[in-house]
Amino acid sequence: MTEPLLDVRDLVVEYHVRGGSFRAVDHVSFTVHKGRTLAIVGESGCGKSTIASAIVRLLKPSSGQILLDGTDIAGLSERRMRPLRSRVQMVFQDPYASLDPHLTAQDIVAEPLRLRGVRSSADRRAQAAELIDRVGLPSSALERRPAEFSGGQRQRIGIARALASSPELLVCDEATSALDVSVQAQVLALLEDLQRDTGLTCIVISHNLGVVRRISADVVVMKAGRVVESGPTADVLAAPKEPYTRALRRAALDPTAMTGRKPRSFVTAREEVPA
Amino acid sequence: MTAALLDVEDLQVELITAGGVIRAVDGVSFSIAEGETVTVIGESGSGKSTTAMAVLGLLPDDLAVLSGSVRFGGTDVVADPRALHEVRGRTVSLIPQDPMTALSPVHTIGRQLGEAVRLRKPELTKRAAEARAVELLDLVHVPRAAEQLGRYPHQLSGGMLQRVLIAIALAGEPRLLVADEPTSALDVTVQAGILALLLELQESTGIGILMITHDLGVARLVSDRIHVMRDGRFVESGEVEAVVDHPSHEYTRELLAAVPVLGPWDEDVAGGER
Amino acid sequence: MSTTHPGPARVRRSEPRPSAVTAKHLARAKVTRQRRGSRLKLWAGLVCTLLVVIPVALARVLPLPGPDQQDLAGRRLAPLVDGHLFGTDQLGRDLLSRVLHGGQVSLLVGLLAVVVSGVIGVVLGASAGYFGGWVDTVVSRLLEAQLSLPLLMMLLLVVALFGPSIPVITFVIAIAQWPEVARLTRSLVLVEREKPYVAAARVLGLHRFAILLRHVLPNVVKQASLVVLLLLAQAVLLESALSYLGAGPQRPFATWGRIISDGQDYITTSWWMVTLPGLVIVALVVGVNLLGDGLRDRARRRKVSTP
Repeated sequence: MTEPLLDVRDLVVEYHVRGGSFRAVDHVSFTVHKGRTLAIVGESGCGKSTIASAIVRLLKPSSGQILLDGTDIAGLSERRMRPLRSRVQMVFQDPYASLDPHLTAQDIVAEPLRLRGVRSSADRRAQAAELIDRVGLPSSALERRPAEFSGGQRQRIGIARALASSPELLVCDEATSALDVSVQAQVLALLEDLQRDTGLTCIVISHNLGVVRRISADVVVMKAGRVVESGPTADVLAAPKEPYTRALRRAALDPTAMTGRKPRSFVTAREEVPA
Repeated sequence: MTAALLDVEDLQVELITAGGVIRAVDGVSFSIAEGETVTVIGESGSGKSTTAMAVLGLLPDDLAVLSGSVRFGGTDVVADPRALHEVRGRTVSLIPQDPMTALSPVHTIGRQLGEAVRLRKPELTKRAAEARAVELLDLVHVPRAAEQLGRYPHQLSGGMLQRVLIAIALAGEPRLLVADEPTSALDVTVQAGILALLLELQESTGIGILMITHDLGVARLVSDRIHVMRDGRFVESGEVEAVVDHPSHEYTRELLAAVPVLGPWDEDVAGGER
Repeated sequence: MSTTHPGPARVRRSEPRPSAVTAKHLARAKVTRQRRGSRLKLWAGLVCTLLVVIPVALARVLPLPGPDQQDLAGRRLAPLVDGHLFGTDQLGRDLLSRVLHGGQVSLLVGLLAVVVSGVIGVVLGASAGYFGGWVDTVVSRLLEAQLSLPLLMMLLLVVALFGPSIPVITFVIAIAQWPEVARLTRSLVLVEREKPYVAAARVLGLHRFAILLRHVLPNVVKQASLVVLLLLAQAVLLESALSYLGAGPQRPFATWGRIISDGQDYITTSWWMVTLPGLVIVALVVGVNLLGDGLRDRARRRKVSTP
């Protein structure tokens, strides 16, 4: 087992709302090991996206620690966080709004290179072109703007942009949820390739158990801000210990696992309680 | 043999857009009988939602040009668009995609459901309409139905709202439901409940369902027959077991292969049914 | 048993199905109407605007008598008499020449005012929208305070205090107009700020200021500048109002408002002295508004067609 790259300890994120505060993440702890993929799975409102935002420091946690290779980034000021940012990058859910619409694909991917200190514009363009090729896009993509690309292609550009910082940890926040299933399969395959080639550590946020099963080695199941169950993905999905995990697994519809015509029992729980 | 609830033949939908005339639906034919669920499955841009909207006559006149025939028990609504008025809300109802935005936020559930009830049965008194509304909410398993009548859409969860929408659809006493991605916006556990409800309703009332979805799991669960759609055409059609277990078209095979596999687990019983 | 459809049954594979779209459908279609509508607006707006702007720009070059050249023998001549296209005023001065030369000042003041108010408005509005907090509070309250003041009274007060020179009037009109630009820019920036590409820029490690300059502003400027174009008409109107009230620039030429106020006394006897300059103002304002509207329609349609 490789060493832990990310160690989240007792993380709490609270939002201030009218009449008090709302705890989106409630004392969550987990570990991600180098070169492996951890999935955080749960339904809407469980806090998984908030955790993702906390890890990339889009927001500052209320309390707890986020240890990136030993350094606690949870409470750092923006100024001290900035040099560390290149180590943790994110791929966002919405392919249509996560790319700056007025920049070309090459500009979008070249920007992090400038931040990393690649001074020459020609160098940046060359490296950006390499990354765009690495994610499976043709060179004709370089001068085009996001509006000319499909959802799957935009996500590839988003991945190239994230990779341009040479991160150690990549957080994918529902990165394939907005994509068609065939495109999703391609993007997941790309992520697997990248991990194999570069030893990239990944955290995948998803609500889709199939995606989780495919891409992750370990999983954390969340509900209402708390960790319900965690462990190796194969084990947790094959033999869930907690009733909530069971409910999630039961509700996942695998077309190849069903037999018979309109097998209603597949979706009827023992307790018929509407959502 | 009873006449089909819906008989679509050679339906073609052309959209006049800024970029030219786009053929969103390129000659599709299918039919739905009583008690049957027919699913049109496809990815985005395949034309499946456009097909449903065209069948219901919901595409604006200044955008879409329809040809072919769409027959509801004999009445062709493409040839005679005025006949849509009698068919919509009575013979056929729609369950829309996003429950959070499908209801008016400034009116109570009771008001909107009552409106649907009274459209179908204008002769009912206010009290009778309310009683019918409660009956419908019970039918879709909304707990404490009488209380819910006074609440507003923003106070209900997505799953509950979708049940209300199904109740509204049933208020018209339709013979056919068109469900356009009814669970795409819902959590997976909530989805299970809604799909179970649809199956139950079909079992008890013999209502027909046209299901539009991109999710093969949903399609496999609820369908009798499936049509796989791509680029405006059906590339494969057939009984659901045949299409899913033995797909003959390459595209269907690709779609099935792309669905991430969940693998076996301890609740699987030999034989597959639980 | 499933069937594959290799193509439509009984129809030749290579030939596409016949289209049911007729010319009547195309003519009635929404996109056609919209395109026609915006094209009409663009052309009408352009024609009206240029009809005023080009002669004004060429005022010195055209073969016209000087704007201050009096001819006491030819006082209050009707239009088209004796070679005076717009007639003459009570001192025999050629009205067309006065209108065109005065227009140079009016347009210059209008353009300058709009540029200044555009810059101030975009900078303050974007800062308020992007940084929020006390910056937003200060700018918004300033904005609201100014919008609540009676515009013309305020302008007259400033001119009374500092004199009716061109710089003062330009500045005063710019101050009057920046709130509208700022308000729009602020809303646009608020929307862009929430989009994930801005979050992505933060995750990359860009400074807030750099994100505003490099990512947010370029996506907001085009829409904001359409409003600025529409404000040009308003600026010209404001300048005319000021000069009508006697608070406009006195040199080098009387501007439109002043020409109109000069002709007020003769409105029943020599209608052209008030009406023709008025029509020129109308033509410019309508033209600029139509142009701005047409451009905005086109921009909106382009945004709708991209998902």
